[in-house]
Amino acid sequence: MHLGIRLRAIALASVGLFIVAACGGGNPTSNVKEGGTLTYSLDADAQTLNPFEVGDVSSARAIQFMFPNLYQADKNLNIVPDLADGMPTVSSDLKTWTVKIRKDAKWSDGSPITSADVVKTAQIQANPNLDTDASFDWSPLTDPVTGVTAKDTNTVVFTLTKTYAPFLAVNLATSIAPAAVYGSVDVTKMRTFEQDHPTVTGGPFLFDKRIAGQEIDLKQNPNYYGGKPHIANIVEKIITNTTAAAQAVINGDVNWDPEINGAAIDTVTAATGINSYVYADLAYYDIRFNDRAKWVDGSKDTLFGDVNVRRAFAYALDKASIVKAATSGHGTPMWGDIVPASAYYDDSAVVKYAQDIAKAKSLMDAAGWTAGSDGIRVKNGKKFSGKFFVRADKPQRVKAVEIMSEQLRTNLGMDLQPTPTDFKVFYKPIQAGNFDLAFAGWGLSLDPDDYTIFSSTQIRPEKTNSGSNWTGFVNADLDTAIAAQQTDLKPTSAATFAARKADFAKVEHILGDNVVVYFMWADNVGQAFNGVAGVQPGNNNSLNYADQGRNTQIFSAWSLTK
Amino acid sequence: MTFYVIRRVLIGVMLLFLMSFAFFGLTRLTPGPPFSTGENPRAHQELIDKRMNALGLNKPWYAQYPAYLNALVHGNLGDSYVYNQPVTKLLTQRVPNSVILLGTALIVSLLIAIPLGIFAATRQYSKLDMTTSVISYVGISVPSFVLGIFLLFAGGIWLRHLTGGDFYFPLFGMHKGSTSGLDDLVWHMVLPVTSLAVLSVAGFSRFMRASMLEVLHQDYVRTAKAKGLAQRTVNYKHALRNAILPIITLVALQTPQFVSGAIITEGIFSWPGMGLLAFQAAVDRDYPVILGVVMLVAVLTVTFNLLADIAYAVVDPRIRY
Repeated sequence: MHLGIRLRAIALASVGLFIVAACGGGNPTSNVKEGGTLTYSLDADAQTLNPFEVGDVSSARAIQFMFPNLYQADKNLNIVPDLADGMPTVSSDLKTWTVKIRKDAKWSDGSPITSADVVKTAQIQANPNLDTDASFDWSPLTDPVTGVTAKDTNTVVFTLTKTYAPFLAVNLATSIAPAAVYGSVDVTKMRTFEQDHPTVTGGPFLFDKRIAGQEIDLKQNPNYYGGKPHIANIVEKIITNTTAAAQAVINGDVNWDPEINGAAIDTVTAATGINSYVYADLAYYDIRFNDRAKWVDGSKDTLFGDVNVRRAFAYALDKASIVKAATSGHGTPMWGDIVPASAYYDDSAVVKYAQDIAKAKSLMDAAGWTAGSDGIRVKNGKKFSGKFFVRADKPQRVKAVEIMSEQLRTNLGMDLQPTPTDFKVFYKPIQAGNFDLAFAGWGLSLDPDDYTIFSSTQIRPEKTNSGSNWTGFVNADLDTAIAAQQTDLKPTSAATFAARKADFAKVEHILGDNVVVYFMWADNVGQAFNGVAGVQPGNNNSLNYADQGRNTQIFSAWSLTK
Repeated sequence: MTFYVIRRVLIGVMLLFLMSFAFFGLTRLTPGPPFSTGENPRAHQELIDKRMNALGLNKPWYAQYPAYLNALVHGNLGDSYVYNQPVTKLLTQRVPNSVILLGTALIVSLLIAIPLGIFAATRQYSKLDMTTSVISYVGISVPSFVLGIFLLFAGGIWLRHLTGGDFYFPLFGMHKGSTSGLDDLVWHMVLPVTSLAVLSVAGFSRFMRASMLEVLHQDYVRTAKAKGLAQRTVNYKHALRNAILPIITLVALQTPQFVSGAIITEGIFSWPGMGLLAFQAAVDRDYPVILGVVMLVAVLTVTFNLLADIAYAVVDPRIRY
């Protein structure tokens, strides 16, 4: 029996305000200009416009205006309804989620958007035979087909095998596609279906035409359920040079650049007449140690298997200065895996290591590594020497590795040779467990669930061939805390949030105390607008929600000023 | 002549077959797979393995080659791993853009370089010759990415500042959004064509100068002068016709490069040509696209070499095969 535990409470008040603000913008007012063409820059051509195939950032950006989400992120990255009519209800055993669909939504061919579309979308995403580069994970469902059903035209029921708190952000915050179009497609051939021209969509803008390699043109959807957009057309221009893209906004040739990095941030923020927002990205970098005692192939003892060595590494470095030098001041130093952009970010939960070279040296001594005649530490006749892998195509990371390598050699007697590596080759030794340390980067979803990165069940290659825990670190308390943040589903979203935040704090503490990895920074990225009104940044000036389809309703509220 | 052409065609086909084998091996032996979980903690290795298997990429490279060759001789270049579209479709979309850009740059550079080369040769060691020589060497020495970025800043940013925002050249693409007029296209070509032409003018003008100087010292030119012909007639009617012959070879050999595009210039100016496509394909290990581009260039190189030899025979009556 379902008791219909409502996941609203505190969040709903802000949700309501948001919806009013966002949807209300769709109604013409005397102060808002109607019509015009918004030019938007993409740094590469979209690989696909099929919503089941989107696995790259450019495609996610290109498609974000065209398909509705079931749930979406608000400006502070809380999950709120989009196509859904209210927050989901969860059964008393916390395993059955029920979602109501709004009744006024229509596809571009005039047919209503119903529960059948949501069910079919989930079933296609859950189909193990789906040929895609996208990262869908519907494993919590009892069954990829029968685990999601339509109770009636506007009600969808998801049945899970377990209590799974990330379900809302990971699974329900997804774009919905028309069942009539995609439902009959052989999922093994989905990759080539409508990859360059979606025929039926339901977002604020509709596909108009595409000129390969140059632009994708969209037109206003007058029947959009979130309100008829003020802007008449969007032209997505492909601008491969980031300097040119940033300058194009200043020149007025482009209205919106969704990603500005590095020195271009300074250029844009200094320009007059440009609205720019600089904030921490929803991704981070860390130094990934091999925490095992030996390489997986048994050929070598690892350098960082001893926690004292990892702590010495942390104490030997001045993170703030390294991040500042590597990113030219456009990075936010981190001490945990919850990025500052996340609502779960808690600066007080992390373990910080202030530079203390004397302490670092004593820790190395305690670990049995003594200074050799050439200054490099030695243990049992073997030098502390290894390769410091880093992706060669990422200049900021290479610079950071070079600085750290120098500091560690000088301060601590570690011989860690910077090894820039082509990114197609970079992951092979790391995923095989045959490495000492590597500079890694992680793109994150809206939920900070770190199960695949740090749970010992996800250690690759020993435990799984698919996990992203390359460290080999095993800790029962860490596993318990990670499991808890996945299962802490409470009667209200506020209670769930509070419980999970406490769980994440435990995770952060264990990660930091054991220096499982050495966290580096989250990029500060920028978005710039010229002649666009209605853009609402979230906390800390963040516009993470206005990117890669995390929220589509906002686009009906935006307008052009000239 | 006919026998010669047939023999060259057969050799060309053999050469293309060998090149296809070599290129196929090189792409497959380049370290790193086309697909990996990378930096996405939610990516599934099983899906990647399944795709590698479906594409036959887990077999030894030499075992993959027969299927590729079979498709190739039937005109099928395969589907892009990235765009999931036939490579022939991608080539059809991109090649014309590169031809427009590089073709225009070539014409512009020849129109400037040939007169410049002649001018420098006929006034050897004059101040003007020295000046053109110095400028040419500077032009040859400047890396294309430096020149491209400089032009981007000069023509699109500094010029805008100097004119108070009223006048500047487009920074990206072939057209302003949603337009397709010829004037708009020409306007967008100014910076990338200049970038390419500056480098070509420098090279072509040196080549033309050297060729012209060689001819001007030939006996028949001295004879023409001795006959009392006007210097202009000697230079342009007698010397130029022979001096320009090597340029034909040079242009013919450069023509295949039109379709392979100009990687750096296209990248800087967001020109949607083959260079940009080929570069990204190499980064992504998009084997079908890499091989499609390389084989297209190989076919054109073989073809244009043959055409250059035939053109030589047509232009120069002394040459017989």
